[in-house]
Amino acid sequence: MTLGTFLAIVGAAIAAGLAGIGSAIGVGKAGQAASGVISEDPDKFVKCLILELIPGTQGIYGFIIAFLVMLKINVFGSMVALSTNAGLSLLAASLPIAVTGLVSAIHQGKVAASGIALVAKKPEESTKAIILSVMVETYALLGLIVSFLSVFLPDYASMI
Amino acid sequence: MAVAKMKKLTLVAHETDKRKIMKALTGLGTVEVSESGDYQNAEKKDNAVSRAETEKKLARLNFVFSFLKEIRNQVKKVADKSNAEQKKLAEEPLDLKRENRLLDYDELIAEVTENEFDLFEIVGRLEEANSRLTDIRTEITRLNNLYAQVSEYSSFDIRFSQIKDTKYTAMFAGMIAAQNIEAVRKGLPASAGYETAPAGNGYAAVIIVHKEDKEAVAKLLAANDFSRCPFDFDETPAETLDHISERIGELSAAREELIVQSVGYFRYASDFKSLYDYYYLELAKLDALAKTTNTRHAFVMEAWVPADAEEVTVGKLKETAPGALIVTADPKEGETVPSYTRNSKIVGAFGENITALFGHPKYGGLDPNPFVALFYFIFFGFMLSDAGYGVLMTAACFIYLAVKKPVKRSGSFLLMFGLCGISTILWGAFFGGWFGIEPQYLEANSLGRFLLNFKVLDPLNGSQALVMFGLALGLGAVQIAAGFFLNGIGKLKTNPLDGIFNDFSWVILFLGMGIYLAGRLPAFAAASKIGLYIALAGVGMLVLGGMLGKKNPIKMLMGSFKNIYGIVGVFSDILSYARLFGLGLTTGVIAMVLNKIALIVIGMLPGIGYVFAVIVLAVGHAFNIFINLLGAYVHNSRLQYVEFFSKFYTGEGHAFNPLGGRTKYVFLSDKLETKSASR
Repeated sequence: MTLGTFLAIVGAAIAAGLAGIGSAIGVGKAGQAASGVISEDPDKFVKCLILELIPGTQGIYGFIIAFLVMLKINVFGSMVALSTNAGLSLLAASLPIAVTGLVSAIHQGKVAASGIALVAKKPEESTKAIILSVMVETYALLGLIVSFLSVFLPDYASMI
Repeated sequence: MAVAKMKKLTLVAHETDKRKIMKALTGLGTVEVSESGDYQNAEKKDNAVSRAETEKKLARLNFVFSFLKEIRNQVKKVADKSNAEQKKLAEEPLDLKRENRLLDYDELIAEVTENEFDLFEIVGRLEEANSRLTDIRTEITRLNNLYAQVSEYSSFDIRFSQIKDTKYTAMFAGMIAAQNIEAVRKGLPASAGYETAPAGNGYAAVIIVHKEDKEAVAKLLAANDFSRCPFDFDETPAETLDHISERIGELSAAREELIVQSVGYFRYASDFKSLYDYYYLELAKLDALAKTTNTRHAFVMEAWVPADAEEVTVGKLKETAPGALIVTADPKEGETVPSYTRNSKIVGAFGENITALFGHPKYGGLDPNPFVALFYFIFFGFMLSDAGYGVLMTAACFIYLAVKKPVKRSGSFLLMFGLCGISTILWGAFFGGWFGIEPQYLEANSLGRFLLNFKVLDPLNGSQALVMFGLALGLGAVQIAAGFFLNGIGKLKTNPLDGIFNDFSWVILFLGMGIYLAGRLPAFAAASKIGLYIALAGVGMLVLGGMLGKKNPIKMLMGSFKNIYGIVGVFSDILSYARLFGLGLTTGVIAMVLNKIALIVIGMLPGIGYVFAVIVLAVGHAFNIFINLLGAYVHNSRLQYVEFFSKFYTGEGHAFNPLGGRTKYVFLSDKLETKSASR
């Protein structure tokens, strides 16, 4: 394996890892709040569950980028020998979703947790709580798009 | 397809007709009673007492619902599953959800008055059962505590009543903490007899001493936190424990009996629901009455009624109270008129589930629902972007609607998603997304080849991703331009110059940009320059627009600058539509990843791998649909609220809330829709 290929795998690992950490923290925060509400009223489970899941998407975005990087270097077959520059570029391309995913998922988790508090008081307004927490996701989506385009478009295999 | 025209209805009637009139209005469901004005020698009546009574009835019924639900949970725990009869009890259905039942108000009243008395008697019985159950629960808790305390002495074969002083001896029984037991042993006089048994964290002890040592021993024990045995039953600890268990057994049996009896009332759930809605409407009526102005023998009511329903409403009122005076008039300037949006079923589905969450249009303002419906429909499919998922969604929603036939408008949410499913099928086919199956597999069979015929753009094929990105932003530009256009239209009557220079200018700018970009294609090369000029014209109009209505040249300059700077904001709005692209991609990529994992599993585990692959595919795709459906739903809503509405729609209207329009458990038919349906 070349250093370039190794760096690309590091990129994939960072994308899936950091975004996943963010989502884990976010979902965890929301989950704690949800358990509190459900202990009072088990019927609110589904509404709380939806809110709890919202900060989970960043982890998926990170995973998608990691998977695309893995496809680029053909992890599932004979691995492509990337040049060091190509590897560094793929690593850099993985960073936007890694960072935005990590931070936005944590903050989205906070909004989701307060959204769950909102559901506890006014269950009929749960859609508004969902929309408020989705606002945070915009920035993870932008990170995803930047990562996606910069992982996907260039021809790394022939980069010197 | 717009915000319906409203009429103000003023009614003066005799006090004796009041009940009849309220009943008729509730049944019609066409009027919203508003606060009536002040009249000489007339006043608002305070009906707090009857309101409190009705609320109390509602609270009792709410208790019934929560009590029956609790019984539902309890009976599952206590029922013996091996016993057929008990098993049947545990499975006795209890439906506390809203019923898919459309009733006339008269039908509801008939249903309720028939058995209201019996039902409230049952409520009383359930309340009694509930307090019995609470008593039993406290008693069982008390007995359990007692059992724990008594069992600490269980190793002593002595009656509690025997623990007392005799002529020459003194006797102590109680608990000593473990760390103090040694000190007590050492401190006791040599003549003392004692017995200890470990219990809990310490020891149960019985101590017999000479009478003359009593005081000294009492001091010793007190110094070592001795807690005296509080019981004086005329039986041994073992006997007491038996009696306690027996009593607990009896109480548990009584509890089960009560629970089983209560299960028998499950079948009245539907009646209770009707009764609840009956009183819910009574409450609405009382609130409406509180807004009327009363003299001793007459009352004045003011109400809003959609112009379309005026005829049927006035007709019914005249029939109900021939002596009443009824006047209808157009709304006056400055009155807050409720807005009632009347749309086709399809547009209404989007209006009720998307626009209504943001806010209702102002009376006399523009109804954004048709535009919301159109853009929401287009964007949804773009975001979900897998035709396979779209087929599942559409089928699921429409089959449910066809089988369950939800009454009134209760099916609108599913109708909206069913329609969005169609959008998803169209976009999915456009992008060649069929459950994320890669093209090379689709090409292997004739169905796949057929489906691929519809593919125009493959987002996972090199630079075509950029085309999809551009398409997303382009759709965004169209929606934002539409927003400005609608705002300009709204201004035409009041301030046409403002509308033309500050709103239509944006449309011209976007149009020019569009033509300019189209000019990049070789076929339209000539258009490029024209587009640029049009766009510049739009910018020029914006510069002028900023100067409108200002006299101070510095302010004019600042106004122009503000408008030009606004271009930055608008373009960041357009970039927000990148989410269409991002969400569209994720669905396809996750689906593809799932399929790849399934293939890897099959490759790794020959034979049995197929089983795991099916599990991976079923669970994975279900999860993918759910998470992306949720994403498409909320991100799409956001685009409407933040990017689209900010251009032209404030949603500050007050929604028309007719008397009889709100129920909790059944649906009440009204005369709002019948009129428009007959046309």
